[in-house]
Amino acid sequence: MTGAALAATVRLDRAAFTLDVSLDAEPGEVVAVLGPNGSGKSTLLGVLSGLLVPDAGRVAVGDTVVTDVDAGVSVPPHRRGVGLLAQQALLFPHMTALANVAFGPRAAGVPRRDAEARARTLIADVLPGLDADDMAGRRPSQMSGGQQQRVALARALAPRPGLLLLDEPLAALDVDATPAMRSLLRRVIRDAKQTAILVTHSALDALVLADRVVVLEGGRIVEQGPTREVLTKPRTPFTARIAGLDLVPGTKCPDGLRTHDGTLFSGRAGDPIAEGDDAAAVFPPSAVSVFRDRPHGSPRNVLRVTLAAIEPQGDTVRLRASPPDGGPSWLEGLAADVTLAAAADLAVEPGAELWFAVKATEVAIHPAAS
Amino acid sequence: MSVTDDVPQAPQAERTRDRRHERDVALPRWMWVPAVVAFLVIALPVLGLLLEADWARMPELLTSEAALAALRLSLETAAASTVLCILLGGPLAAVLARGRMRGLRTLRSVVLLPLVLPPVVGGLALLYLVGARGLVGEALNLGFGITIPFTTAAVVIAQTFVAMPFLVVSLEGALRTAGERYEAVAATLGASPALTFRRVTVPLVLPGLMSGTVLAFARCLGEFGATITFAGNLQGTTQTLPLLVYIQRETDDAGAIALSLLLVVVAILVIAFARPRTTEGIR
Amino acid sequence: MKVRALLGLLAGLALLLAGCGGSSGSADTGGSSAAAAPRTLTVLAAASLTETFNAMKARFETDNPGVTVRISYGGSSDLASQIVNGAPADVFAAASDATMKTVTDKNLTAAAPRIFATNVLQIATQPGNPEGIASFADLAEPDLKVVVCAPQVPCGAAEQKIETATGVTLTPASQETDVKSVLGKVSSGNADAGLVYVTDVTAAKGSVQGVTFPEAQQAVTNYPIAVVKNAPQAGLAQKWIDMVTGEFGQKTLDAAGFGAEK
Repeated sequence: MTGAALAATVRLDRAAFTLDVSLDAEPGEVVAVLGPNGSGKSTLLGVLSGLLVPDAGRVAVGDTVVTDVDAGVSVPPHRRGVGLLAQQALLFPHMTALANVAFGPRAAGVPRRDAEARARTLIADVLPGLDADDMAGRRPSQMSGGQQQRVALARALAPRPGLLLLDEPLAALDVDATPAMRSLLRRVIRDAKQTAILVTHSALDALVLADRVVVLEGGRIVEQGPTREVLTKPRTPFTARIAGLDLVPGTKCPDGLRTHDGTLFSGRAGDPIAEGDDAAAVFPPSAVSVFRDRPHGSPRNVLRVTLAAIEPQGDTVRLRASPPDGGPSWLEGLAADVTLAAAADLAVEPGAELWFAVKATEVAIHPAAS
Repeated sequence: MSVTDDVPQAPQAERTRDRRHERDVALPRWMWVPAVVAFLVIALPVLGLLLEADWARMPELLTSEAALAALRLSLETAAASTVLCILLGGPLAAVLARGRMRGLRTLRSVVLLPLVLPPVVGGLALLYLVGARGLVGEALNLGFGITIPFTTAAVVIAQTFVAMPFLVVSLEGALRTAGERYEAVAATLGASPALTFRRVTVPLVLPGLMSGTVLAFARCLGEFGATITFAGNLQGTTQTLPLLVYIQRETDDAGAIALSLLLVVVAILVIAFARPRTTEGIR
Repeated sequence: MKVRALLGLLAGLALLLAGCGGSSGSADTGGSSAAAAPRTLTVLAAASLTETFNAMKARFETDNPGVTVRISYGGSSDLASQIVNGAPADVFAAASDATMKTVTDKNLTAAAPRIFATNVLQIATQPGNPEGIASFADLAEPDLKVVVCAPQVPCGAAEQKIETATGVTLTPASQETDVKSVLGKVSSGNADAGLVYVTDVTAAKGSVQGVTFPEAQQAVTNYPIAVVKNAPQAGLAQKWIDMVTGEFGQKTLDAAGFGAEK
C-alpha cells in the first residue's frame, strides 16, 4: 500500500444491495464516483470517512490503516484525517465563518492565533473579491448559499486532510453559483493536488475536476478509467446518459452491432473488437434526426419510438424516447436533440409515435461492460 | 471569478420581524372565537385573584415569617432540582436521541410517566421506595442512618421526579431536530466526541435546553402533590409556597390569595426572563 | 371597560351553570309529604364522618322511600366556603365549631347548629407501640419522629391547644394538611407517632395502635350540624338531623369512636 493516498477494498451488506468495491487514489488524484441513486455512492463515502463500519475489508489512508475488519482495526472518524464536503454547507450556525474554518485546526490542537490566521488566509482564498475580514466575522445566516459552500470548503481543507470526500458539492447550489464554485473546486482541489473522491451526477463536474472516473451500479464498479475516455466511450447506458450520449447495447457483428432482439445497428468500430463480443453503439443526441413519418432513402439506422418527454435545454430541445408497444427495451431513454424551430414543426405531444434516424458514420462501436 | 453575483440572504431578524405588509392566509376568521375563549380561560382566573386580593394587607401578608421562609425554600429547592434535572436529564436526553441500542422506545415511555401520573401517585411511589419501609429507604437507614422523608432533600427528590420529563422531552426534541449531520461534520474535521458535544451539540440545542430548563424550573416551583405526600409540610424545611398556599387557605383566604399572587409574579418573572432566549434561537 | 364586560360574561356563565345544578333540587321546594315523587337530600359532611354517614344514608333511604341522599364529603372549611359561595345544600355537618361559625356568621343556617358528636385526639403509634409511648409528654422525646396536623386545620388547632395546656412543646417532623395524611405517615412507618382523632385510629383497623392520653380532653372537637338556609329539602334535612341525633345515629357514631352528643 505504499505510495497510494487511498487504498480501499470493502464490502458492506445493505437491505437493497451489497457494496463491494476496490478503490484506490494516487496522491493528488481526484477520482469521480458516478452512479445512479441507490448504487452505493454515499455508503462508500460513509465507509471511507469512518461513519459506517463495513462488514469486511480494509481501508488505508496514506500509510495508515484506518479500517481492517479482519485485524479489528476501526479508527474513529475524527482520527482518520478524512475531510468531508457535502451537498449542504452545514456550517455550524452558532459560529462565525472564521470560527467554522478554524474549528478543525483548533480540534487538532493548533493554538488559536495560528488556527485563525490559517482560517483567514483560506477564507480570503475561497472568497476572492470580497472583504475577507467582513466575511470572516459573519454568521452562516448572513451569507448566501454559494458563500456558505465556499466557507464549508475552506473549513474542510483547513485541517489539511489526507483525503477529501466531496459528496455532490454543487448539487444544492443555485444555477448561477454553480460555475464559479466548480472552478474554485478545480483551483483548490485539482490544481493544489488535494487527493479527493468526488461523488457527482454531472459529467461536467467529472470532466472539470476528476482525473479518473469510477461508475458504481448496484454496489459494484461497472466501469472505470480516465475521465475523458469513460465519458466519450461509455460502456453502460447509465454512463452514456450521464455523459449526455445515446447508447445501444449488443454484440459486435461485421457491419456494426446486433442488438439482443436482432436489430442491426450500423457504425464504425474505434477500437478493435472481436466478433460476438459485448459492444455498445454510442452516438450524440445531436446526431439524431427526428421524423413524424418513416424516412426513406439514405443509409441510416431508423428506429420507431414513442415520445416519452420533451426537455428544453437552452436553445435546443431534447426529445426522450421510450419503446412503442412491443418494441425493444433498449429504446428506453434514447435522446434526440433538435432545434426549437424543428420541435415546433414536429408539433408532437408525449405519447406520439416518432422515427429516430442516425447516420452510420455518427455511430461509434465500443467494447461494453457485460 | 466573482462571488458577489448571488445575493446574500437578509439577516434572520429582518425576515421574521417585518410582517406589517403580510396577509393572513392560514387563519380562518372563526378561529378567533375559541382562541379568545382559550386565552380568557387562562387569563381571567388570574384576574380573579387580583380582584379578590386584599391589597392593604398585602405587605404584611407577604412578609410574614412563613411566607418568606416558603418563598426562599421554593426558590432554593426549585433551583437545586433544576440543576439535578440538567445534570441527569441532559445525558438521558442525549442517550434517548442518539443511542442505538434496543429498548430505547420502552425506556422513553418510562421517562414520560411522571408527566402523565398524578403527582400524588408519584409522591406515594417515592414514599414506598425511599420511605422508612421502602426498598432504598430501608437500606439508606440501615447503612448510613439517613432518612429521606420530612427533609428538604425529599422536596428536591419529589420536584426532580416530576420535572425531569419536561427537560428530557424538550432537550431530546432539540437534539433530534438538530440531527447528527453537524456532529458528523465535526468528526470529519477531527473533533473527538467530547469536543463535538461541547462545541457543537450543546450550542445547537441551547434553545431547547433553555426552554426545557424553564419548564422544569416552573414545574418545580408549582410542585405540590408529590411533595405533600412524600416530603411532608414543615416551615423552613419542606413547606414550599404551594404547600403554604394550600394550608393557609384553611383559615385565611386573603393570605392564600396574597401567596398565590406571589407565585404568579415569580412565574411571570421566570417566563419573562427565559422567553426571549428560548424563542429567538441561534439560527 | 372591556375587562368588566368580560367579567360580566364570565359571571353570566357561572350563574347559568349554578342554575342548571340547582334546578333538580328546587322542583318541589318545601319538602312536603309527596312521598311518591323522587327527592334528593344533599348533605355536606366532614370527611371524618364518611363511614358513619354512609351507614345512616342506607337506613335513611330505606325509611324514606323515593328519597336519594347525596353526601358530599370534604374538608370542613372547603364545604363551608362552598355554602358561602352558594352551592345548593340541605344539611351541613362540620368537624369544628370554627368552620360552622363561618357559615352562621353569614346567616346561612336555618336554625342554630346542634352538636351531635365529639371527637378527641389520640396518639397513633406503630402496632405494638415499640417506642413505649404512654403520654403526651413522651412525644417531646427528641429522637422520636412525630407528625401532627398543621395548625391551620382543626386537628392541628386541637394539638396546639393541648401544647398550651400542658406546657409540652413538640418539634414535629411534619405538619400535614389533614389528619388522614398524619395517619398515613404513621401506618407507612415513616413516622414513629402521630396525633390523630380516636375515630381515625378505629377506622385504621389495627394498622396503627392508639394511645389515649388524659390531656386530650383539653381539646374536644365538636361536630355541629345544621339545616342550611333556604334548603331545597328543608323537611328532609330536619329528618336527617333527627336521625343523626337519635338512637340509631348515636349508636353508629359511638361504634366509630365518636363521643356522645353534649
